[in-house]
Amino acid sequence: MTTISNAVLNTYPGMAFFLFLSFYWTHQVLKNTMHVTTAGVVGTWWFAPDEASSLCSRSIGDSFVRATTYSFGSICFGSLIVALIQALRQLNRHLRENRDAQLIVCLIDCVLGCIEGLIEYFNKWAYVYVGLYGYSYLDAGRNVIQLFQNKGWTTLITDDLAGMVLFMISIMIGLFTGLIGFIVASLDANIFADFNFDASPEGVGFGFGFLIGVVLASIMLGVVESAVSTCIVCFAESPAEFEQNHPSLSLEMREAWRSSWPTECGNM
Amino acid sequence: MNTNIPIVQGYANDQQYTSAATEEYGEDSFNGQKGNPQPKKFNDVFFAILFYIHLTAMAIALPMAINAQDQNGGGNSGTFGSIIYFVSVCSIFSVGLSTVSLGFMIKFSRQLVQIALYFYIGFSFLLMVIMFMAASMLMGGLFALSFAFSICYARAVQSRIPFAAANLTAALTAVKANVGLTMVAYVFMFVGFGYSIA
Repeated sequence: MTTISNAVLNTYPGMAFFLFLSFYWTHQVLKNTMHVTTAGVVGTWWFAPDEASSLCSRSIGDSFVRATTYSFGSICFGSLIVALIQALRQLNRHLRENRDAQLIVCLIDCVLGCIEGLIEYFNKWAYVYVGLYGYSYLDAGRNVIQLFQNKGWTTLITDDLAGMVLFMISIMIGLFTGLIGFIVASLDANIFADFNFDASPEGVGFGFGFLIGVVLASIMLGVVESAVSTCIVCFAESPAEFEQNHPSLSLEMREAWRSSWPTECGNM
Repeated sequence: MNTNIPIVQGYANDQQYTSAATEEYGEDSFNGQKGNPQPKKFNDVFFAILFYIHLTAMAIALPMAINAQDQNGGGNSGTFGSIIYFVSVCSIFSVGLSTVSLGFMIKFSRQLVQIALYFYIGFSFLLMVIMFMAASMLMGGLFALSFAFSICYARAVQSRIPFAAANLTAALTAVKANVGLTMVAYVFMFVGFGYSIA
């Protein structure tokens, strides 16, 4: 897709924009469908653990079907907004090759980057509400605003700290997989012979291994990240159901809540 | 109709349970407005239709573009057997290690949050040093700011670590109880990868 886009860009910039848009939109839809499915499964685990406690539990299939039918329009809506900005950024990056107006191009990229980050962050929470309750995209957005009005910093910090752990773990898994790649490449020195790399096969093996490790770990840990966001929303909305269904985890969370916010707990 | 019934995409839990948790946080202090049950209906249908139309257009346009590109030459006919072996070994190892790491993270979530904060500081410091060594003063300065910010951030959020760790544990337990979810994620990855290659 990107090769075709690059070829088309110089002759038909408008068509290239639609190719970029298609590329980013499809990727956003895939990513968000997974996020909505995870939110649905974790929500079911929160409220009705019997329905969501096995390798291939019924809730996985049900949540997936709902994400790809009833909520699919909402997923496409939010994804399109991000994809539009990503496609504009991609087009803007190609303009950078043109030496004129470099400062303006750079500023536009910076502004678009900020907007993209904000909307992606907003979507992350909106899709939790879509996955949990089946809201439309705009209604889910209203709930996100309410969540941040009530628990803005709590949400941000908790989410950010969990994200840091997941990033660190994916780097660690990448390093270990890189080591495996290094070993495999040193056992067979001709493994990358067809590709004419300048570096040693062991180095290339480590690099590729690291990449494979990080990408695959990020996919699994991406599911965990969606689950973290869902737990934050569920805990904000339904702590009682959590205590009823998962008493030991609820106790742990309550104690942690008490130690993290002693003043607020003391005032209750 | 009770508008406060918690609902998980059609699963309505109408047992209104008042517990120590509710009393402890108080409905008004922690909770915002609870999500309301939504009737099962197709939302934002226009965008779903638009997406399918775009996919259809791409399904027609892409093969034509690929054929045009093939006529211009190109095509890599290398032996991929050894690469497939390499990718398989690394992938199996990575997926296995990721699965094992779920249990590890549940057991040591609190320590991991603490370590992750130091990791973030170390990572910013490393990037700052690399950028200054590469004589990129602007980027070096930005990473120096990031390094300073990460130290302040780590100090400021120390008291929040237990809650973040407990939240992470709950999320990991949920994912571990439904590991099939990760299979769906890998399928999505392959679809995305295939679309990128096309």
